[in-house]
Amino acid sequence: VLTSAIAAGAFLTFLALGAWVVDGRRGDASGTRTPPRVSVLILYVVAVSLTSVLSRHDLWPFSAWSLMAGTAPEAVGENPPGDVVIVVDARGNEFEVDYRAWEPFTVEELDTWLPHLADLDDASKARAAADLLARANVARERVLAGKSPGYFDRWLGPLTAPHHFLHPAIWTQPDDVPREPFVVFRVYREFWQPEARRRDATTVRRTLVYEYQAARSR
Amino acid sequence: MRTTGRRIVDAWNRFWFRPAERINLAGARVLIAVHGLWMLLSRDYAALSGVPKEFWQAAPPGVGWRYLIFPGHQTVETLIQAAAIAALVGVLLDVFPRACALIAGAAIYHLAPFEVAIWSPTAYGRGLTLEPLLLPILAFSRLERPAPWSWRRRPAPSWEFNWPLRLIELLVCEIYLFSVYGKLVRSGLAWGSAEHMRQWLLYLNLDPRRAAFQAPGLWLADHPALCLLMGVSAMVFELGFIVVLFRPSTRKWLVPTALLFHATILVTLNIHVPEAWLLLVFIDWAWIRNRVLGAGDAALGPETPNEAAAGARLQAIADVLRRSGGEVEATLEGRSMEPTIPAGATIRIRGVPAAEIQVGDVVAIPMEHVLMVHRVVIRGRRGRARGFVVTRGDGLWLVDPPAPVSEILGVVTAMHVGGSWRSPGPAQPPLAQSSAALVPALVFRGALAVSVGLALWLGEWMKTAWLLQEYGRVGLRRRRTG
Repeated sequence: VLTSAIAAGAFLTFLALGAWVVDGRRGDASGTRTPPRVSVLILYVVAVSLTSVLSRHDLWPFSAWSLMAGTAPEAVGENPPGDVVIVVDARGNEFEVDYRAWEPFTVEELDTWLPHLADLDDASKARAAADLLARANVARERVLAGKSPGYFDRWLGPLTAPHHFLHPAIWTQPDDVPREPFVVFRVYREFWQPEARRRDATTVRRTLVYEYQAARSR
Repeated sequence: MRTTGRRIVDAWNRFWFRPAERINLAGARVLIAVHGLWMLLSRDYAALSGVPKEFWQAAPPGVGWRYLIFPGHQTVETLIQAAAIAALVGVLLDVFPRACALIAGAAIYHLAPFEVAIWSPTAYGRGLTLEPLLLPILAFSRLERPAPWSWRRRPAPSWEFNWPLRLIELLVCEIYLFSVYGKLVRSGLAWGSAEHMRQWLLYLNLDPRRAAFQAPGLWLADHPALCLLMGVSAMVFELGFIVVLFRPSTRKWLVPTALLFHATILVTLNIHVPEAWLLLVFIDWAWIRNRVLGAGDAALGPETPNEAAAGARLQAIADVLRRSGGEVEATLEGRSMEPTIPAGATIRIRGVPAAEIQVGDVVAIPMEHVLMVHRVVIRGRRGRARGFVVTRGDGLWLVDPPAPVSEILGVVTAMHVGGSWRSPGPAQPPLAQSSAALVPALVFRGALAVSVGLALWLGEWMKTAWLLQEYGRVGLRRRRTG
């Protein structure tokens, strides 16, 4: 909370200093009053940016830009989480879900959120799972209709900005999805070690974390 | 002897407040607006406000007040997203650009965190990290009209066009400098080791569900020497990129190197950093303009003292001519009036009262330090529009931006071609050209009928295309009073 308050204050101060610069320009025909104010603004931006990076507290939009700064994980499972969503049709066939099916969620954010599912009570878990299952079904219908599973490309088509992580498109044609709706939503947690998996792809261990079954009409 | 403090202040002033041309800041403005639009049109931040509340239960504390994110108001968020898009279009099209930049910056500060707020308080690296800072910086700078490509009222180089661009460039450099700092502090020099690079490559490529490009990264992971090269060169590059701020000559190879760096990350690690496109703020548009349009084009290049003097002389002559109704002779340099008036022809320009200017007249209009000779194709009819004309070269299809009638120096009454003087006569353009010319003429006729402001605004945009055409201009040879 404190970091959020400092970050919000830093952004508001930035805007206030900018307004001060604009105000100083009025009636400053000689151009002597504005540069000192601009200098204060510049020094402020530099100072807050340095505070963000040196304190290692991201004060977005004064970002610390800690891209891949840590060490690469030696094992995947708990941290970083290896949670995977699988949906199941009425015949019991399991399907992986195309990353675009979750829109407006971006898949990397949803993947990071999935472990929090365990923190919800049963009713909340079911509501969240039902929502995601419904999104998967909407995407399935879109693919069956010959469209893209997601809708982020509604304005820009192939020029749409890619996600932060590049995921493969797995639902590209109607044959990639079943004609019947998905009725079960499962979350598996996969455990694997990069070096071991490189040597042998079957070393991935999977456990069921959560399952939700949609109510079936009689 | 100067003190150290004085030296620092001088260096500071040289870096931030050295006079610069506006075109580079204008280029940055266009790039930032396009980049912001790209991201906003590629996501649906507003819809995240409408997802079930269960998804928001893991949102970090403080995020709501920090970004004013209160889920459950999708309609409001949709309106805010639409306002942000409209404001960015305003920045792009030069419609109240400073106000639009501020609105867009504030709206993006609110919208961008929606993407991550279900689990994280910070949206860095998702494409809109810099816009909440860059857009307000544009709003605080001098972005007054006319548009940056204006040739009629091009401002002189100014320190006001330098500091905002420098600050924007500094924020882009921080991506790399801060990134390597984080690596050194959290992982040390070992971050760049072959083993560590291999570990990252395996982690980000082995899961086929999470890697669009698996093969290049896995191939690289199996070559320790290349892994070491990748790790070390990434750290050296990130540490050294900030040199572009202090050594502009390095931009020509460091910026392409940075783009290559991101392309490599994309293919081998499957990581897309949308902010990388903001590297294009380092493009020297003034240099490109001079290369493409010719450094010798006085109307486009930086104004020299000689050109400034020529402009002042021209204004003085124009004033005398308008008052006296006398004539001057001049030589036409361009080919825009062909076939009516060939390049190199001597012409006579007679000063006439503004009220006598008619459609079809070939007129001369002072344009900074040169005269432009074109034919009047539209004369405003009502209200304020009566004080404006639209001209076009007989050899061109694009019209010129609207010009005040009061700025017209005079009418071309005769030209010396083939050993004799004769009237320019009416335009006789080829059918194809006259057909193509019809559309812009109709657009401007309609715009002038609606609003002079609209016609002038359209004219600013027209100049982008207009600059690519050759236009007729004359160098005054001698003055004759009558």
